[in-house]
Amino acid sequence: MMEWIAHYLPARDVLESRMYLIPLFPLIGFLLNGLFGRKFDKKFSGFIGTLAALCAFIMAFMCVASLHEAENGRTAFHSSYGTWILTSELNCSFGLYIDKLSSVMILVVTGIGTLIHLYSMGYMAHDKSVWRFFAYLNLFLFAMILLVLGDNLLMTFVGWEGVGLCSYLLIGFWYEESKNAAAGMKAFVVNRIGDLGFLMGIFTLIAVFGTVNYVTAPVNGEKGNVTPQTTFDTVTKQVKMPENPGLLDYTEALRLKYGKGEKVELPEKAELPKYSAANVADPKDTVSIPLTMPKDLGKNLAALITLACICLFIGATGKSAQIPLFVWLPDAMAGPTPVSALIHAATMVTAGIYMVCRLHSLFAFSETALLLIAGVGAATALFSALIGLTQLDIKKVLAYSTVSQLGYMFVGLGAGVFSLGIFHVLTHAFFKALLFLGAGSVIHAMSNEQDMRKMGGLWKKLPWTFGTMLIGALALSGVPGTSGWFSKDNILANVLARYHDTHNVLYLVYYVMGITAALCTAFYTFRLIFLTFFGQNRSSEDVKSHIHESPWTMVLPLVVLAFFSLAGGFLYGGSFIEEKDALEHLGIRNVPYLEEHSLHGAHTLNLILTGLVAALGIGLAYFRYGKGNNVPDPEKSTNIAYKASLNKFYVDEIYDALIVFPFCVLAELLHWGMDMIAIDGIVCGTAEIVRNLSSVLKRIQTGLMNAYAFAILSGTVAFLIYLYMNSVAK
Amino acid sequence: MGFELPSILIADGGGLMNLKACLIVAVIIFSIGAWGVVARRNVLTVLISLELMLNAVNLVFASFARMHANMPHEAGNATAGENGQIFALFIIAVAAAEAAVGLAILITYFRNNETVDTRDMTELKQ
Repeated sequence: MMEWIAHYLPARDVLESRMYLIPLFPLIGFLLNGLFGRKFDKKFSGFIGTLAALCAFIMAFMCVASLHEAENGRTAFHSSYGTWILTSELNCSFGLYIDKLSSVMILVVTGIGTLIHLYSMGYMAHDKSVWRFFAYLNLFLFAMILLVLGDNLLMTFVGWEGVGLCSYLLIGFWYEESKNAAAGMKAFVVNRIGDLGFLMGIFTLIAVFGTVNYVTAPVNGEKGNVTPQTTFDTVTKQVKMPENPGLLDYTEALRLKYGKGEKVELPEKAELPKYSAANVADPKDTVSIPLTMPKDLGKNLAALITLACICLFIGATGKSAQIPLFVWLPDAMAGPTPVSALIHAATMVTAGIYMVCRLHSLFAFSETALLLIAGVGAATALFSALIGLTQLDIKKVLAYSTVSQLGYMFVGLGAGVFSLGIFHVLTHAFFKALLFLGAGSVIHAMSNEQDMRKMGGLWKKLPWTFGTMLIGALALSGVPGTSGWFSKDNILANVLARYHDTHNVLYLVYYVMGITAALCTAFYTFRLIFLTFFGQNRSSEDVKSHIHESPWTMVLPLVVLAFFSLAGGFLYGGSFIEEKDALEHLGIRNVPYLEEHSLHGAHTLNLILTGLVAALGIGLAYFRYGKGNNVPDPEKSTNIAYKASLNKFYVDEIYDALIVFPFCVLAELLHWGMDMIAIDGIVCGTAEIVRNLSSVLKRIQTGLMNAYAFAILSGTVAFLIYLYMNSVAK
Repeated sequence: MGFELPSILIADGGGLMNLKACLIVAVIIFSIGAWGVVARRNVLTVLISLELMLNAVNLVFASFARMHANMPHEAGNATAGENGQIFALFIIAVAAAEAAVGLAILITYFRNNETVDTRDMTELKQ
């Protein structure tokens, strides 16, 4: 089928030179809706927004399809649009880069983005500032596209900050209620804290490698390799690197130079490969230039790379809601449901995972960083799953579920299987967006009621919503056959295999945490389904009469996403799962196993365990909530664990006491100490001094004429004496 | 003093006269005038003292002119020492003009303020 599509596509050069259209369409949509939206009809704003997203998707699809049928090594599109920073230390330009990794991400972003724009046309139809909503959504798409397609870390950072801004704008969309505005601010501030880590990581990488580009700058006007590869010349035993290498070129060169079999051991003072042009066998397609370390750092390269990786990961914890910076995500449910679906399930929160995968070879050097990532991911997965067990608001359950699943993605990354992390991003985007949009449909039907205690028995009246949400729930619980099973349980299998391989007991701990979290996930997901759709309806008569299935603009995205939740594993799983396929299809090299058979053994054991856990979770939920009306009632419970879980283990209160309160005290102190006393004292004090001095000096002016005459006389006399003394001294 | 003043002879029978003596007289007259300007209450008295100072200066100029005329190498030069004498004439003329103006100011001030006591003239006081 791809060949058939490829016949109708424009030529590759045309597509490459028009790559800027992908971010441009949403930007135009933002400008149109933002500047003129007030005068537009509500349907028209929605139409423009959705059209912009659709155009971006079509353009992205064309580029990706064209790349899919690539010949002679052309594996990526790479365009540069002008220089940004040009100093002796750093050369950075505006560029867009579509390779296999970013093609996955861009299709997810624009595809699901378009579906959610369509959904919002129905969901936000009665809101009074629809134009503002679509303007913000388009701006978000623009920033996210920059993040994913940027060809260097700084472009990614621009997109990173942009999506943080849009998240703030959209969470606080209904800003008249201060609760929503506060939630928006919380999201932005917590995100910013993570961004500090991200920046430190970028600075470290600049200090070590001298570049922020991912790959070398595009080769203009030449057919053949667009992204020249780093290779090892077995004849001269030297590493050939392209001109102006990027981070991935450097890491590939280090791997080729210092790799012993499957392991890479960076020595105490590792140097970037040096070689001279004279020894290069075939200089036609790559340019070999002698390279040295940009600066003489004199320190352990491995330690610096670990530091950079940890700092970058801190940025990822902020954006992708891991411990300790996940607290903004549950509060972000104050925003409209399409926002929760798009930003906080499918796209923005996956930016951290994307960034780690983009720099996969860098992270692969540092075992410490990988263990840390897996540890934080596993802890987050378990922690938020425990909180999700007792929540009463339908969106909060899904929010904690998102945090938990993001933890799974990081566990995958930490176990070294970067491709599976991206695969879980893909499948999670499908079923979590589906669940959120379905929840939105339920909320819409229940006249904006979000408390599950007041729902129930909705499966008859909302058949499409029920069917699709059931599919989403099955995928989330990892029932075999669904896309969620392909990704999530595969990640767990690889964690177990990594334990067998390296005999590092930490991996076993992470595995146990992951399995427990999977149990909790199955339980709370089906608790949500049973409480919402089964049993008797517990709402008031007024609400009951208004329950209706949603319009086609809302149901169509649900159906599409449900299809992909079921079929996604079968359609795409192959390219992500096997290690060799991952390298070919995604350009990502997973951390290899030392022993081949570790994976096979782990698969069998894991299959049994995860199947068991999923069945157990669903079964427990059915026993407790499936039959009859066992509605959770927090007031009647005395169980400490239950209360702790319901109150999210008091994280917000702890943060308030430990961090926010001292900060406010410090701010107050500075206000009085510095601002009022010191600064005002200096400024007003200067004025006081001048005033006092002048009141003393003005007494000379008595107004008495005699005094003035005397002053003239004595001055003259003094001058004459001075002249006389001078002339006598000679 | 650190330098010697030449002696001057006046050939009209008055006897030997030093330049020094002339200058000392002039200084005394000038001091009295200066004191008068600074320390008198009546503005008219101040103007009179001002005239005194001008006269003292005139005396100095005339003495030095005479000294130059009596110098041995100037014998036979009828216009020796003319500079000093001319300047003294200038001073007399200027003093007269200035006295006229000063009196005019004084009379106008008296017409407006009814007093010529310097202690009452404090309009410039801060």
